[in-house]
Amino acid sequence: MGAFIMSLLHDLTQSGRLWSANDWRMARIHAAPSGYAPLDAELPGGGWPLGAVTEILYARPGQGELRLLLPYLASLSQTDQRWQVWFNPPHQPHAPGLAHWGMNLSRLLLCQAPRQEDLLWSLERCLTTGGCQAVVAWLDRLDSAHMRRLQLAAESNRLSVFLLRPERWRDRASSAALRLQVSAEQADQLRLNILKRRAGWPRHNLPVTVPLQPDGAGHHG
Amino acid sequence: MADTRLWLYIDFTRLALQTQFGTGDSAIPQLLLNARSGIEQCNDAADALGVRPGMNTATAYCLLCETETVHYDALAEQEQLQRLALLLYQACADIRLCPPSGLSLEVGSMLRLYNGLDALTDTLKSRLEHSGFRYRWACGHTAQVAQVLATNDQPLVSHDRQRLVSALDPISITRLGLETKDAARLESMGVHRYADLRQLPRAELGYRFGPTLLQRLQSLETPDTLGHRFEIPPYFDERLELSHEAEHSASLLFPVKRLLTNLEDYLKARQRLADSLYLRLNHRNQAATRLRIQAVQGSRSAQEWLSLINLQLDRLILPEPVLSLQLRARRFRIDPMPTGDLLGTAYPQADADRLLSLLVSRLGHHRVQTLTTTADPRPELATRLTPAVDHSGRPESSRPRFQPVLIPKTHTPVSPQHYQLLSGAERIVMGRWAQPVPYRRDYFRAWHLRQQQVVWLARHDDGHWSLAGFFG
Repeated sequence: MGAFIMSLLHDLTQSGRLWSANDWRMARIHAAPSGYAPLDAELPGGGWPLGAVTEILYARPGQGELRLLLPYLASLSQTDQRWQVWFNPPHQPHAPGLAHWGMNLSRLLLCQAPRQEDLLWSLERCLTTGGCQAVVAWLDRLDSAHMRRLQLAAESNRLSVFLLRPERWRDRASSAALRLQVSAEQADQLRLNILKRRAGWPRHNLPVTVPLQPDGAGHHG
Repeated sequence: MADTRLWLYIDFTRLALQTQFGTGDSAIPQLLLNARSGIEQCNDAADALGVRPGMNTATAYCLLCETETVHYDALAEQEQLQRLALLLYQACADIRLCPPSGLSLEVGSMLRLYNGLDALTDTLKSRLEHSGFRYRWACGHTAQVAQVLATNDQPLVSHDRQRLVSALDPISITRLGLETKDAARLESMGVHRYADLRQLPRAELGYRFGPTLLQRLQSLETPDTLGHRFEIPPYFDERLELSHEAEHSASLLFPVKRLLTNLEDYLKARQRLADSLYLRLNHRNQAATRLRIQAVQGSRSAQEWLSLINLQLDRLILPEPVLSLQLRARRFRIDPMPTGDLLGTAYPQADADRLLSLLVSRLGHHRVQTLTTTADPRPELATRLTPAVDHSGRPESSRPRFQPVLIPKTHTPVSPQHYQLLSGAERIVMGRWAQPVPYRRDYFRAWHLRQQQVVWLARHDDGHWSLAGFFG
């Protein structure tokens, strides 16, 4: 029995679900670089978690909630031939703007699922059929049982799932592996609160520079 | 080559009955009635109680306490014969339809492919048994011999001409397919069997009975074809009458599955995939409910189609009970080799297609879209949304611009004093040729001082400002 518990503890520690304060940087967490070095330094595994739900809480569109994700989403769309699925964006995505970030539009699938049960069903299919590279969903209410299902589905396929949600959900318990609250101080200066991360304490007031266009893009217009 | 020709005749003894009642064994006696109120066909349960084909209906009812009856439907029988031909078409190239209930297969030319008659008949047998239809068959060195042997229950499968002739010899003269009056006259002359007839001098027979009899005898001896050749129809279009009215969409799944199995056979025979199906649910009074089901990249598997249809039926509320179903497929594509990695373990494209099919089935065509950039400089027209299933898949040229990633769908006037402008004006002008009202706007990247958002503002010609986008 003791040996079983020890091996369970070992497994949980290895995957970062259980951590002790002195070895948190040792946990092996699958992640992909976000494209923002100061953020990567704080995220377990050094980037957006793969096989886990990331929750991004924001107050209004245009506060960096999407720019934070775009470098990773764009590079993924260029290398992976499966679908990147966006659900229920609050405004119409603008193709020239996305292309400017380097997004391969032919891999982007835009879905409208007005009914909650359709949305959850579709999200789960995206995560389990193997035909999807990443999921971005704007959604409001989500009960904890569904969040847990999503988290499990994401784990099975090592995909990133980003849920963009209103700020008012920040104090609710959530089984997402990573929770970030985003606010903007200046046009290209964000302040992040890491509300929850695997193998680490919460971190407040992390400044991250997020430009209005990708690095290396010419200045015009 | 003429010597190697060999025919197999298959006679479906209860084709019309099984077409209407299905191929399962029923414990309830089932009768197929013809127009002259006689019994055309009956099932085993009725047979066990003494009912025989040809019997008068009144007599049959005296023998049975409960029964299911249906009237003979020649059209349904013909359609089923076609389906059976389709089923065998994958095993044999030359199939001829011999209505009402027979198929004549030229198997001689297939023997080399199958390495012998036994392997071929095994293949055919497994297909026929899978279909569930009652049949009897026989070989013949001419199509007519095969037909006579099969319909006289002489299940001889052989290409030995001698054996075939000797099997034919004892068959009664009345069962050779001769004209009734000729057969009766021959009987009265003491000619009872084919063996007797075969030995009579032909010139004398011709003198007495005319050329029809000679032609018939000739066709039993020299190769000649029977019926007209079966060809695969260019489209799939099948209708199924439900035996009971279906009130809930869930109860349609089973009949739909039957149609899909037929579709799968059809697609296999044509070596094609279907990419969209049209399912029509017919009601008594209301207009038919139509469903369009799409599988990106096509599919032939009945199981796969069923799961896609199930997604639509799940959410369908029937306006009225359904009386019949019609399934159509008109667009086909050639079965491509799956593109995967060389080790053949992962098929990302196939998975992506499957995901798209699922999403489209659940959410609807217009709710699953792809984006492309257009050449139009006006921001609100620079994005084209197309239903993802109609997307050509060709790489389109993309026109990147340093513009926001989200554009509001509604027009929101704003006051510029709430904003700090981050850029100079970017003027977008369209000539009068593009639209009657000239289009001239100046766009600015701006920072909302209080709400802390990065937005795109448009200054219109009349001096008012509006919100044109969010930088995300």
